[in-house]
Amino acid sequence: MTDAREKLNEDIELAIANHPASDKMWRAMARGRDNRTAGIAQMHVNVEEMKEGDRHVKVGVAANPAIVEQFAESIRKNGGQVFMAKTGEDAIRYVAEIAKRTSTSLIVKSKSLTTEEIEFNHHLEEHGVRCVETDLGELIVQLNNEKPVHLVAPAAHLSTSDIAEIFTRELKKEILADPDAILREVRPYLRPLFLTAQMGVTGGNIGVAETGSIVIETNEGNGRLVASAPKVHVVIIGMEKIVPSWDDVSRLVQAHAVSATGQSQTVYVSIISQHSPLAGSSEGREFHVVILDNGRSKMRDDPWFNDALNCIRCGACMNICPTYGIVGGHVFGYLYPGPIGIPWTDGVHGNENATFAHLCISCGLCKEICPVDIDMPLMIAKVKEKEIARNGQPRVNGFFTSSERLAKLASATSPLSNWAIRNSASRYVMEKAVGVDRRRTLPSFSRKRLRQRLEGTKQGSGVKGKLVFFPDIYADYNDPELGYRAVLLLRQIGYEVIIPDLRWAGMPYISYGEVGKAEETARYNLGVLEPLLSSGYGIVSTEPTAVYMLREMYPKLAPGPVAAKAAEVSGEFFATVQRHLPETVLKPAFATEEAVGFHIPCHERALNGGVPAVAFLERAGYKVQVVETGTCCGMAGTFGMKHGALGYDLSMAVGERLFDLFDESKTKLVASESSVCSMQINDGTGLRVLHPLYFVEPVRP
Amino acid sequence: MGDSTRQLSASQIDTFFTALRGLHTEPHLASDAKQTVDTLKQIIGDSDVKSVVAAGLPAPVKLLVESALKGVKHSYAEDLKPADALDTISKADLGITWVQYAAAKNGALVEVAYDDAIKLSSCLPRVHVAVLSSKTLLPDLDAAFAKVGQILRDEGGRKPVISLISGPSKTADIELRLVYGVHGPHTLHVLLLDWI
Repeated sequence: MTDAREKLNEDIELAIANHPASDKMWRAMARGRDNRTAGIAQMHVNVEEMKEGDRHVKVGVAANPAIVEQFAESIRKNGGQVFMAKTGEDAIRYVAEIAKRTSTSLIVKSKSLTTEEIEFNHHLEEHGVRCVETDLGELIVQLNNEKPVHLVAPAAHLSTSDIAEIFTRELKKEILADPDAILREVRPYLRPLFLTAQMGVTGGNIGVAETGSIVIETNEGNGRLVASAPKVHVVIIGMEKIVPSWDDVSRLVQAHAVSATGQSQTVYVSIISQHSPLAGSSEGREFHVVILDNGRSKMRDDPWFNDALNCIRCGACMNICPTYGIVGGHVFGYLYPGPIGIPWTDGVHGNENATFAHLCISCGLCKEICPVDIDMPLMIAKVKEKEIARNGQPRVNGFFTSSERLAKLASATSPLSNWAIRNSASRYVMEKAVGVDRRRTLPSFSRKRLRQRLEGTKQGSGVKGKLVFFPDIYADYNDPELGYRAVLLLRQIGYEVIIPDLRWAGMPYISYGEVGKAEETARYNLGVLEPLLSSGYGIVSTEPTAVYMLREMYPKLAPGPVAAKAAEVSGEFFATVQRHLPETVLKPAFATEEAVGFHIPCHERALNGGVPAVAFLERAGYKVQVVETGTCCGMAGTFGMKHGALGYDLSMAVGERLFDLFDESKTKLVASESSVCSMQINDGTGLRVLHPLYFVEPVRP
Repeated sequence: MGDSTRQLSASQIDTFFTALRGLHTEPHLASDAKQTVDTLKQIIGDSDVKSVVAAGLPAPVKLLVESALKGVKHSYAEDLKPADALDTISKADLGITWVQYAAAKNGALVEVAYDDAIKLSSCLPRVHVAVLSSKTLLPDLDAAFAKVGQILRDEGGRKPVISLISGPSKTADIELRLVYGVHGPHTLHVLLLDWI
């Protein structure tokens, strides 16, 4: 293992063991999500339309050289000075020179991720200038010699007593562990610093090219003080933040606030186009805008990564990321934390600092929640691919990206393979040799595959349409009975259903950074599907992940009209069935008065949120109780099967929160469409978990 | 002005005040000069104030503020000397400033300041009283930003600093507990003048 990978493993182990901290992170993240949901509800907008509109503002604009140039020109016209910094060092050198010329010994700063990116404070202090963060969260982590753990909530990992201790140390007086008591000390501590600092440094949430204006959004109002009390105001802004005109600003301000904290706008939105005089005097009052490139133009020109520049830094992706929620941004991050931190780290700090990409489990929830719909999972797969190219594919990841070949083998050698899967000695060997955790219950393999199972059954009439059934691995090799029941029900409804010779959907190639193989698989499957699509077939699958691949990934892995068509006509099994529910008779397989627990797999959230499957169960006469944390169950395909911290241990730590909810729910039977989520919930709760199709009596051929 | 305009404005004031209350802000309505003075006196009386700074007020309002401040130590940001502006404003317990517009639906005040002494008068004191005319209410943020864009495009020479203010200074950085007044005002009053 490389040093960086080893360090990552150790850090994850420590983070999992530190339960109080991970509980705090988890709660903060849940609050972030809830606030956002409530905020959006209050705005009375359609989320999808909102996302589309927000995205429209940024795409093609971020780091566009012509717009950057116009912005610079407007600032100069307003009388400000502009410096284009190719690198972080260039930016530091420029500011250090101003500090020297203006005899600056103290800089007050308002929160700026861009200055974190270039380690501004550290470098300016090397030049003998004291830098003080004035955003409370940033100040806390600065005094604690830490980096921000979250884009929006930098000190989310610390408790009130941790924070009281930090200020007790700094102020050399006893401070009570009470937020109000702490704040009573912070105000008089910072006030003289605001008033005596010679220079104020801010970032910028938005740059507006047409008028050369900077928009700064804060809740505390520290940005207003930093930008006006000191004589010199320096703005350090990433070139991707600049938009052409005022027409886009209202939308962005609201998108930032609602996604970050659920507000419709932050308490303060400052719009600065030049440094105003103070009491009529402009003496010594300077305004500088440093426009930072530092890898951004390289990202812009890379088709895999340019979408990352559309990030508006709301932090929503970290609020929903399951593994981030446990380990926090110090492990899940370099200087930029969280899911979006992975492509950003790769872009501005280099792939060698992006080893934490392996913490991404490709659940796709970040893309779902992102206000500008950035496809983080795919970008992260690319970052992993680069890391693997340098350091090799970890053995266990290679094992799981060979799942299709292995499934073929295990199916052919069943029941011997099943014996090996259940046998503790062979599981011990599997753990040592390949890294598959022996504590994980693995599915058994069927000798008969789905098409064999369906031999001799009657085709459907086709009056309702024609469908390709996409079994993926599970409904083909592990549980062909599931595929069998699905196909028969569809045929009974009136569909003609065929199963062409497709490969698996290939999600593990994304999860483990083998993007080339994912592309190859997508091309193969689309090649098989092409003639069927042109003769009117739709596609259906019982595995949400397979549909997710067809809808979300294939159009990017193998772009073109075939992928677009396949995405358009792919649907999750129950979504297809739902259209015919009123005339479909379903006989319940279990006689129970109690509610059936329902788990929504992550990839299904992107498709339909589990609504059709719940409708199916209800139509069969069940009461259904959706049990969820709002994020992943932790299994994430084969991730939870891997031995060690970056696998089973982290998977169970994420799952723990969901297992507790299932315990509290008192449900005895659980339904979930994902084969792997079912394993996780079964392992974590001991409850029986079945695909919803098993809740009804099967159609007989 | 017809009755319908009058009613429209009344419902807009309602919307505005509801939004302000949701933002931990205290709204006040003054329908004439006397009410304006009385309201200001009451706010000042309730706020345990030793000194006040006022900024950017139009002449007729300034006269009323002056009378409300009788017996209270106060200064006007416009009259301060560059050398002691920061110190004076920072020592004031209460700032009374004029705001040019507001987004009714969102409770956002739009302050347009050409001098940082005016801006600092709304951000340094622990109590801020924002005064505006009901005629300048805009429906929402979209309209407010459209106005901001218009102001900044039109300005040939000096461009003002424009601040949208939606409630008092707040933070939730300590275990998500909401606390007000971390740097700027911990109390925000909005005095809407229906007569100017």
